[in-house]
Amino acid sequence: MAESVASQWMKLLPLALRRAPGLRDGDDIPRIEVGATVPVDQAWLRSYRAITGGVDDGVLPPCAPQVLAADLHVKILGDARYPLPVLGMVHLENVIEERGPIAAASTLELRAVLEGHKRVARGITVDIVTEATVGGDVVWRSVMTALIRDKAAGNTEKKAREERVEAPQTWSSSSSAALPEDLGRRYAGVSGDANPIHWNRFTAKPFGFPRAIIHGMWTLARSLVEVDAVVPTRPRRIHARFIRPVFLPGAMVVSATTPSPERVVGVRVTPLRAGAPHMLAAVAPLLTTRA
Amino acid sequence: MRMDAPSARDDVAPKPLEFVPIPPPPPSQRWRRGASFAGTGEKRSRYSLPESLQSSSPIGFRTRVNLSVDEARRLLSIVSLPRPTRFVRAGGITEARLFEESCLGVLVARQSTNFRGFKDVVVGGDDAARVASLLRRIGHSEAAVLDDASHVHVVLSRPYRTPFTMLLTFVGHAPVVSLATVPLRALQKRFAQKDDIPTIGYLQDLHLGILGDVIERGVVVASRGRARAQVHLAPCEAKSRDARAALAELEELVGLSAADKREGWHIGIVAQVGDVDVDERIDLDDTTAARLGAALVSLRSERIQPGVNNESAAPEAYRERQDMDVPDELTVQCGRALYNAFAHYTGLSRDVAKELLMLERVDVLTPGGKGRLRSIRKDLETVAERVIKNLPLWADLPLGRALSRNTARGKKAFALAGQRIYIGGLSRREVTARGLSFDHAVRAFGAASARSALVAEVSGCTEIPAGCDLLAGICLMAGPVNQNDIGKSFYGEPDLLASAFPGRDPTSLLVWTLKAKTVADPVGNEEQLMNPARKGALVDLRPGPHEVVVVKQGDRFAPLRKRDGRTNQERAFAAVGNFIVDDAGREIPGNRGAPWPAAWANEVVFGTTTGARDG
Repeated sequence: MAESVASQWMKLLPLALRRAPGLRDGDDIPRIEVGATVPVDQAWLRSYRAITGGVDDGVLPPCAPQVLAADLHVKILGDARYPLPVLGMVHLENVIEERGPIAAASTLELRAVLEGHKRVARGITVDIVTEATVGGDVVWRSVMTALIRDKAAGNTEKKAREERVEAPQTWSSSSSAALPEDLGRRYAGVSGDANPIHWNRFTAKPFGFPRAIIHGMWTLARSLVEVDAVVPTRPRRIHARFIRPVFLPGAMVVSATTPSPERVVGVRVTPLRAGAPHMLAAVAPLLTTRA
Repeated sequence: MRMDAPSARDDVAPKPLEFVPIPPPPPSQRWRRGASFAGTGEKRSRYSLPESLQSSSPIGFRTRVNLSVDEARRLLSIVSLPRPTRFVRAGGITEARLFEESCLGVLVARQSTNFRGFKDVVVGGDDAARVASLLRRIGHSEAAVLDDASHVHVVLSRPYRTPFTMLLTFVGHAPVVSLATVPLRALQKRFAQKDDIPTIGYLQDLHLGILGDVIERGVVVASRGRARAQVHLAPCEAKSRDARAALAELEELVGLSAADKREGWHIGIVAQVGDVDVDERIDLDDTTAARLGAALVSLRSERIQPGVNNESAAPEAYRERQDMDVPDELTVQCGRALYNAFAHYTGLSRDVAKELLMLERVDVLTPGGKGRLRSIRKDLETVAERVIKNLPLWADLPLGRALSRNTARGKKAFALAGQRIYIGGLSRREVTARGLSFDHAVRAFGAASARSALVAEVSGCTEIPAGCDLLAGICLMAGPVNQNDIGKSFYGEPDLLASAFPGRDPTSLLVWTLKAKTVADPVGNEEQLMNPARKGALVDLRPGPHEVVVVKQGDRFAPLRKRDGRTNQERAFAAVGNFIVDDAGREIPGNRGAPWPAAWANEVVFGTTTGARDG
């Protein structure tokens, strides 16, 4: 079920108050690993489907395990060994492997790991690897890449990423979705991601955003719902890059390219008015079904 | 001069329609829209492609489907079908089937301005049987009430109200007393549903007729030829006490509340839908049905005749005159469709239909026709000038002369251009002498005019040469008629048809302007219907299914395609791919749409058969 604002605050507070010593040159982030057994709460799943627009097909939506692992991610980021600030982290990239359908009524063995970091022009990136196991098989795996911005750094990487964007000529589907102002707060309630950049313009402003932005995982989940009829079915690999924030309130256009000869479908989320995309993704058939 | 009338048998049965090709112009005169996206920093215009589309409408920005001659013949074969003799038990009706029916029915605006004055309540199962029983008790229909309907579209209608009708409130008042007569008329419009001029009231009936005819065709296409609609177009007028009780039950069945009725909502059309016997079915495979469906939803009113009524700043494609005309045989077929439809929806014979329908042909390409056109334009402009002159200053001045400015702007609404122009109407006296109510006749007239226009439009999108958008289009207009009616009602002007039909007391109802041309109207005209930010003053936005279609299951009324926070993003017959692109093939973001989830689309809404489509 959706989490209350107070509960979200309680979860966020220790992270907000914790001291982040930062990383000195030569330092690295040690391996931090956590795990939990998580039965899928069906009421929560209904709320999740309602906010992302999914259909109840008896299977867990592709981004849902990552949301279910949010508590594990909070634990990692709240770990004393994690040296970087948490508030204002920006979700850059996500790779999801769905190795098969996961029944909606499953109990997931979740394991999340963070180890090491990478310095980039705009700051530092870290990867959190999450795996979901059912009956001893890894059925789902994701790598989430987040950026901890260095305010002194410029936007060179952002520009470089934008230059890589190429507009597809024809699509197999292209539809729009409206994003109301309270979407970030409502999704925070469902996902447990209480980052203030998603709440409203007042809480987003201190982190450099003129208005609240929607969660990257909502954007990905909703866009996968929109293109569901044209992307490869499971097993599949979903690689999403979050390029520009999606501001609230607003609207976005989700387009899917026609499949390549390898059956890869490109997914592109753009603003209603012409401009650089918010997110680019590729959905490809997954050839290996075992980790 | 009257419309070329085909020789006819004295009966109600429709005459078959034949395909007539339209010769394309010489290659040097072939133009197409060729719209492109505005470049960075470039100002967008009505000739630029929209940046994106955010709409639940199933239509989107579409190009005409280039039909083959065989496809055109197939389409014409379902334009004038006889009524079904009986329904047989049908399988389950899926949500997808209802969606397609609605797309080809209430959601496709055939008329030049989209009139959002309808709601379509779809009922099935026991409710469909109950509707049949109630219709029999009401007892006022032009056709037999059939048993075993799988479902029924009950179209609710309300008076035509737009910014134009708001402006009309201020028209035709005497100085000084207007301070009292304007508010009085406004109250009468608001609470008694009275119209400023009679033709505004007729608009609702014309639109109902147009809708009834598209529902009939839409059911055939959506069912792949298995089902037909028995459209009851005659107004639900209950004369006896039992009939009134039955009408009240029908209103309750479809959720028409007292508050709705106070707003002017009432039952407009009842269309029973059911599978028909094998010998009445139409052979229509999925591919052909999709192409015909896409062709039907992509038809547009064409207002611009290149080189005649284009803007001076228009791109070259609109500035060049095209030496095109349509064969007279096409006019004959349009006339045949017209009489077929009028007979079909009134139950009168085709010969009587020919007697009742008044059609004046204005031959623009002849000196006489040019003179007549000039005279019509002059008369209509005179009316507009009188309206502006007599508008109450106490209303116009505080509004910054908005009323007079809009009246002047409205002149565009009656700009007549095209190779063939017809003015059509009826005589109330003659219609009632035939035992027909005038409202019913006006509905049948709407259906007949849209059907005749469709015949020309089918020829206009068949075997379109490379480099062209179409070969002919039509604009069905009420604007000139309304303008003339203002003159009739307030300034003693004669009817538009008075000189062509002396002594018959005609009431003109619609004007057809047929434009043989190869370049479609600017995409900006369509954007007015799709984009709230660019909505024109006199048009409504194209609705999504959830806004106008309600499906009743048990006691529950649910909007079509609004579920779990999602609304429709599917474009009807999208697989045909007739979406507008620029020269490089780039699509308008959001225009192609995305399919409604298959699990929802395949759900059986009425009936018991499970499986895809309608079992």
